[in-house]
Amino acid sequence: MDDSQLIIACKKQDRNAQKVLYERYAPVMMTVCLRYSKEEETARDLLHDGFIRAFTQIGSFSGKGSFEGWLRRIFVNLALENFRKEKQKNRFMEAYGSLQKEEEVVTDEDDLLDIGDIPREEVMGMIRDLPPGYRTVFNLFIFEEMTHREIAVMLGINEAASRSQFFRAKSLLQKKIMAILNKCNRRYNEQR
Amino acid sequence: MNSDNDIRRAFQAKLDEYHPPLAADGWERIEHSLNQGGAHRRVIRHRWYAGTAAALLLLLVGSIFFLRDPMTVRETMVTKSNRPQPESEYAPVEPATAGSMVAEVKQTFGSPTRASIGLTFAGLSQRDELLVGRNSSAAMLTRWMEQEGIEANRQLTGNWSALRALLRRSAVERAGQIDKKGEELITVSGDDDQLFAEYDGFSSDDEPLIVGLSGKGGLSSFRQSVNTPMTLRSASIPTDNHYAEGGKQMLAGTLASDNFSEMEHDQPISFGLTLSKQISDKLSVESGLTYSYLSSRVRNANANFRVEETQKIHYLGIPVNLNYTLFTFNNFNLYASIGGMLEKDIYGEYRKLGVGESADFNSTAQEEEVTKISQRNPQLSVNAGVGLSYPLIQNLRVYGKAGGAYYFDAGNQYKTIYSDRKIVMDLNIGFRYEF
Repeated sequence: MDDSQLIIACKKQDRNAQKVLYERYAPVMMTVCLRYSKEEETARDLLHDGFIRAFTQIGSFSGKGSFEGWLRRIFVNLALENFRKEKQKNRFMEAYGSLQKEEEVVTDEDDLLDIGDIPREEVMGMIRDLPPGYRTVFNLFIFEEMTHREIAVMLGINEAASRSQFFRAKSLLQKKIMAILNKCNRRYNEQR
Repeated sequence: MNSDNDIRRAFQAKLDEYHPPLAADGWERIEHSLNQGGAHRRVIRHRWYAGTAAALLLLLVGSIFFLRDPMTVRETMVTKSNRPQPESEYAPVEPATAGSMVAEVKQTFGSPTRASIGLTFAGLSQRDELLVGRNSSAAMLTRWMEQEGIEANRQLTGNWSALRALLRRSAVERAGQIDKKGEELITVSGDDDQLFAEYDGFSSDDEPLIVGLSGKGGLSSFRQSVNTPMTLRSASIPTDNHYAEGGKQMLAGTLASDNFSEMEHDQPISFGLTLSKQISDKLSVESGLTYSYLSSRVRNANANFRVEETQKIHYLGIPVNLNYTLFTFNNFNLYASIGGMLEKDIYGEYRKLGVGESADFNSTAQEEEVTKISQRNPQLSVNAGVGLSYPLIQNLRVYGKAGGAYYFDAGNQYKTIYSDRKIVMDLNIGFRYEF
């Protein structure tokens, strides 16, 4: 059964069709949820809430664009809602991380973000370990391919802040990548 | 050197095939929530209806209970006077005979400073009472009754003249006047050493004018988050604003899931100046002028567009309330209040900020619109509440009232907490000064 048939059945609240759709898209959407969440439990909750929202609002899907894109936007929006809630709870500085600390990160542009040899799990872990503000901006820029202008609008911040958050996210990631690569090199040298 | 596009490609390629393990009961939880969802919403709605009905019933029953017969003490409050009564001064109390009048003495205490005694004359209307002692203290009234040999809960029989004489003996010139309803009012005043009684029918002209200054705040705000675009302009009202309509279309044109919309109405804040006047012993009518401030905002955002609307409306209203004193204790005065208010906006400002950027068409737009607005129709509401007042110094009382108001649909252009929430609970705090 292809997506369009499943969607028609889902619009009639057919549980079997919903289950098939869930099984088909849950792994991809879980990746999205994980990228925006530090805790796995939060990601699971987002996955759950996202599918509930998708199944209750599937009637609004016109079928013109990509269903995966439509579904993905639901999960990104949910993650952003969650981020806003967290931001309100933790206030600005905690949500965006300590700016002073990260200013000290020095980047070597030639080695910037070379993740070719780093396992996927490690890359995912590095993204998830970013402070919430950095992580959100990084995800929106890298994976949702939004411009800084769009991110600023989405998050209610100015464009310069979005650029700054992204830069700091890159700096932090670079630092982590360097640490991992150094660790690998040491292990390699020890083995030799 | 990595450009941002290189980084994009690298991370996307790295995580493209990354599929983390899922929770084993993932689908079961979703299915359970989907099954519960509809029922859950129904249960919440039914609970809300039931809660509202129960609160109204409680208020109604409570009002009936308190309003019916406050603090009537029917047991004997006064022992028989030991003092010999000079018979020559009193009209003889004769046994009941056909056609004679029967009076029952009742004593009522409201508070240490307010007490009354009544003689109910059988043969007239059941509810007619002869009230004695408005404004007299309970202790003083008791003393007076002892002095005059009047026994509570005693049936007195005799003809009109005998019963009137019973009152006249303790009163001065005008005592004993009985109006056509068979009601006679006598006030006992003075200090304990010099008691006298005089005729005193209730007259609202004698009651002081009370000026009140109050502040009121809503106890709840309104917040709604949905995935479809919202606006503060009522959907039923066509807009003549090109930009607003364009913005709505841009938003509506996007997929619902792409949009995040949030509408908030803050708690209303009010200040009022009121005048109130007693119209009976326990009932007073109150009116004046009330200023209210309402603010609302809406945020619509999606990947390409953001619209923020803010709205501030200032209202002036004329409230009319009836306050009924339920009972008093230790100078505290507990009262119930019902009434209504007619409000009209005097100034309103609507501000709209739209920022849009379309990746597909490589275009950006930003526009801000500030409009003076005015609601078309006045806003009518009804309210009810329970309040407590306490004398601070001399004629100044502080009071607090908790209640709620229901706002009728005014069919206005701009949404407010009045139109979206309908029932707003509030807390009113203020001062009243008796002139």
